[in-house]
Amino acid sequence: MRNRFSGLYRRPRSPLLAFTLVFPSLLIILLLIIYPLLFSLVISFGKVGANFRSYQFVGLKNYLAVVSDNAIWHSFLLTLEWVVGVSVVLMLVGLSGALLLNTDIRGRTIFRTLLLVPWAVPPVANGIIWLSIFNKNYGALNGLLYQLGFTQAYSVGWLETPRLAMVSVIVAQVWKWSPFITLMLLAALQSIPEELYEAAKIDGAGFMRRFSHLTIPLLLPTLLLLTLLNLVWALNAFDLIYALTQGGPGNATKVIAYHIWKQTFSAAADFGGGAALSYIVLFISLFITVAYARVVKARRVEY
Amino acid sequence: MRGRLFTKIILYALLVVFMIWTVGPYVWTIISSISYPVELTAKPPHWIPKNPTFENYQKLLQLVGKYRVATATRSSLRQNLFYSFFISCLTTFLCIIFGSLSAYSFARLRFRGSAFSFYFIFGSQLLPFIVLTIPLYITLARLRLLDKLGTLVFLYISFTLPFVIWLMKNYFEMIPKDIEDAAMIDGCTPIGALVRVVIPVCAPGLVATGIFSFLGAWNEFFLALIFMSRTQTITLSVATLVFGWTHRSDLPLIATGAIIASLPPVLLALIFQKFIVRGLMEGAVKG
Repeated sequence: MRNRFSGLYRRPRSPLLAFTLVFPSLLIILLLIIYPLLFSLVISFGKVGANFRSYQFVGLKNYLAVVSDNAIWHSFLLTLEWVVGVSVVLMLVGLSGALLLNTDIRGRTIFRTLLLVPWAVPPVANGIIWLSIFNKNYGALNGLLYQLGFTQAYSVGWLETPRLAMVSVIVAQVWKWSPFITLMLLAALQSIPEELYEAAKIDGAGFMRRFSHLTIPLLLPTLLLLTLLNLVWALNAFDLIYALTQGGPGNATKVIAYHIWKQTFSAAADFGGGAALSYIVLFISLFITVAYARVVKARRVEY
Repeated sequence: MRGRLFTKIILYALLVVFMIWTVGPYVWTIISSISYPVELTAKPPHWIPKNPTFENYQKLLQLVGKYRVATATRSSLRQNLFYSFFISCLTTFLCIIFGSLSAYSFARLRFRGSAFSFYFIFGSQLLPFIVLTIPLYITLARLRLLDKLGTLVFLYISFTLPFVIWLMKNYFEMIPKDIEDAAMIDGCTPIGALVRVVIPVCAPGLVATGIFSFLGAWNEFFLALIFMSRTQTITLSVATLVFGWTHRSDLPLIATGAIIASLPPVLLALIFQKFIVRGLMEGAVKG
């Protein structure tokens, strides 16, 4: 009953309460983000002994090993292919879906609900689903091609052919994430005031003009943010690759996140090298984020 | 008028294509899971099974010796299901409690460093996971905390909290402050106002948050693979994968595994679709 009217005139300034409320979350995050980040830096400059009992400082050796390793350069190239492939296809499919669902058709709610199916499927199940569809001898995709008369036999090794394997993994990733992109873009589309379109129509702008001069510019902030998120996520994609190809055939889908896992947690147990490589990935992510912030800022000035 | 009709037809045709792309693979997996191997090895496969069966589910859930996930792990899929369920529920519960308290402070109370803490929490979302995983693995191995359910729950909470806080903050900010002020005038403390007024009002936000947390924990694979690999306590997602690769040519069986692993999140998403779509879309608009 003290401070009975405090809420009326002024928000209570209660640092102790705020601190108590935020503290548990902040503590967990400090323990699990700040500490590992610093520790990771230390590891990347050293060699960790068996059973983690010893640590030997080796300077830049781990980083130099990364730069001089052709396999890692190859992995980075594959990652670039993967990230760009996923981002472009994902955005195109997601945007098409959003535009389709933003029209005045019947059953929009049902369609929108069904979008949640791929979104909710665990990445591992996603991998298994496509492992079965892409199966060379019995898979549904080869079955479909055969049924429709495109092939005379089950001939395409979707996951066995290096170049095709990358395409297949991209398809599976796009399947899982395009509904999310569609929902996000749909939200952005629906927040565009109808009057703008009316005005454009009155001014004689056709469909294409309205699309390119109105829809796209107004969607751009959301498109950019989604691209950023997707770039960073794709850079760190591991689950699907592990479930679908395990980096193969050969090293054809060994993207960088998978490479780091293999180097660190698989037979090699090279924790120093893994940490160095993961720090490089961290800097790439940081670079992408900063680039995004710059673009957003530049666009603000334009208006 | 004819032009309009034509556009409509094209539109529906495109929509059908898009929806087949969206649900087709999942529907096919369901069909595969109720088929006998013969129906799928036929060329072309029987798109609609002639003799639907639940045998695959029985095999997987009862687990005759041969179908154990992997001989090395000696766990049965039912156990894995239980672990995943337990871990996901606990994570959800704790995330909602810690997350909504923090989010409430960020949304309502003023304190030094609130903006910084918030951006810090948000920025941590963009960190590559693996950077954190390597040092955590070493630390946890030294502390002998690997392969413990509690460790995994702790990790899940920490990695889910930023998102939960961000989502809940948006919900709290939508509630007019007057409601709380009224409660406080009537003698509620800030905590009382939170518990008695704010939380009931933003129940939809809590539902969305809860489902996101549950799905996150249930679907998680990377951390479970690294931190829980050596015991019988592997979670369902790891089990599904090990199982899928062991039996990779037995399509009906691995399809059944995929369905069992994905049914809880898919059903949750469909049942609570209103809350989820709203939660996702609200996030999108706020950017």
